[in-house]
Amino acid sequence: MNNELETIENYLTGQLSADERTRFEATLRSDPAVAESLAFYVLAQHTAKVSAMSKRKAELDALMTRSAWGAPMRWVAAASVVLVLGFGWYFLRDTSTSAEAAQLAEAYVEQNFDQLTTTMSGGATDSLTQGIGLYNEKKFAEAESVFEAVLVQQPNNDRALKLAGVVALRQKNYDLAIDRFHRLSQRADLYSNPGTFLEAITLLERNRPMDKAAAKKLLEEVISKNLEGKREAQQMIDHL
Amino acid sequence: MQLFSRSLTDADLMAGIRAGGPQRRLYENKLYEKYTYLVAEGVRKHRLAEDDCASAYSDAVLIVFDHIISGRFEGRSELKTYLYQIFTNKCVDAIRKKTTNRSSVHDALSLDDSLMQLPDTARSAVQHLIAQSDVENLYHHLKNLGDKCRSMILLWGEGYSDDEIAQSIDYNSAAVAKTSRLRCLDKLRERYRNAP
Repeated sequence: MNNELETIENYLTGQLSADERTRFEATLRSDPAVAESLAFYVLAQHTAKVSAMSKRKAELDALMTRSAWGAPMRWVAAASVVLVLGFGWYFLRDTSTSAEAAQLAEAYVEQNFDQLTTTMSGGATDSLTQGIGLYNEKKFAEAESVFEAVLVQQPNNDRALKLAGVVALRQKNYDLAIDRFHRLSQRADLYSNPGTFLEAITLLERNRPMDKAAAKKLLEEVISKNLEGKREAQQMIDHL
Repeated sequence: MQLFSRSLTDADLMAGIRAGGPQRRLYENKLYEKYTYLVAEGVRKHRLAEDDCASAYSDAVLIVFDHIISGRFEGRSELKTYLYQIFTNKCVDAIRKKTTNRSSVHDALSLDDSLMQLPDTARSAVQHLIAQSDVENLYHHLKNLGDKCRSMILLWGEGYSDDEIAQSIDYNSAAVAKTSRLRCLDKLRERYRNAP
């Protein structure tokens, strides 16, 4: 059965010799079963193409949602600049403690995300394992490509989303890391969700004006809602 | 990374998409993101709801991907101009088809196009069979085929080679991917035949 479809595929993709091609076309005219198989093949390819496009469309629409989330953030950034200009003295006064908080966050990231552990299993997890391997070799950009590819295939893979956030954080690509951790934190279906805690850590490390206050709020949320990272959040909040 | 993505030229994006492999989707996404501002323009010009316009934009971008991969878009005009033309047509379609709720992707590709690409002998042998076929039923069986088989068949539908499918699904070689893919196709045929 498999052979028949393979011959059809080879015929359609021009992989048959002239002789084989003539023979196949003769059979096609005389044998209704072969014609039926060819019709199925064409139909299946068309169906696959349309279904793949539908799936891709959903993925692209998700990108649009993400950009829409990004746009207000640009206003937030612009507003921060205005605030810095207007109340510069206030932030200058606060700088030393913010810098300490940033160092604290950086130290936490260094200690906890220097090397990642892998779990072996099949499918997309193998790609994640490969990405983690690259990460542990400090090939962050390559690791990020792997995690992004997994996310494209499986937008709901929370582990890939977390790893993509961590690798963005390690590259000091804070805005992207915050976006990823924030999306992770919005997932209500996870047994244990580190998104809010990691978003707070990233804000602290980014250390823009207002970041410390926002991070503190998130850490308080981690503690009050008993989210993943509660113990660390308690230790950290004492230093803020 | 973000700065890097902003500096990608259309030529870079097209080369990245044509190169295939796991990076293809990333370049596709970057292309999508590069021209999302067209949606706002569509909303203003065609007075469509933002959702409808975003959907028309996604449809247009998907067609552009297909044309880049198949070589139908050769880069003779600017990519933005080409995308804009298709997007405008999709907006006009959206205005016309507001009454139907069928996924617009179904309309983006017609079965006739698939038939036209067949050699003459093959076309005449299958034309009437395809006209009588129950495509919706095939969609249904493909949807319920099981994750691995379905994703392999969808990748094939998107024009990925067996080598690329092997990389994406962690198979050892293109030959293994091809055998598995054809087996999945056979499984789909059995279900389509036996449970119409």
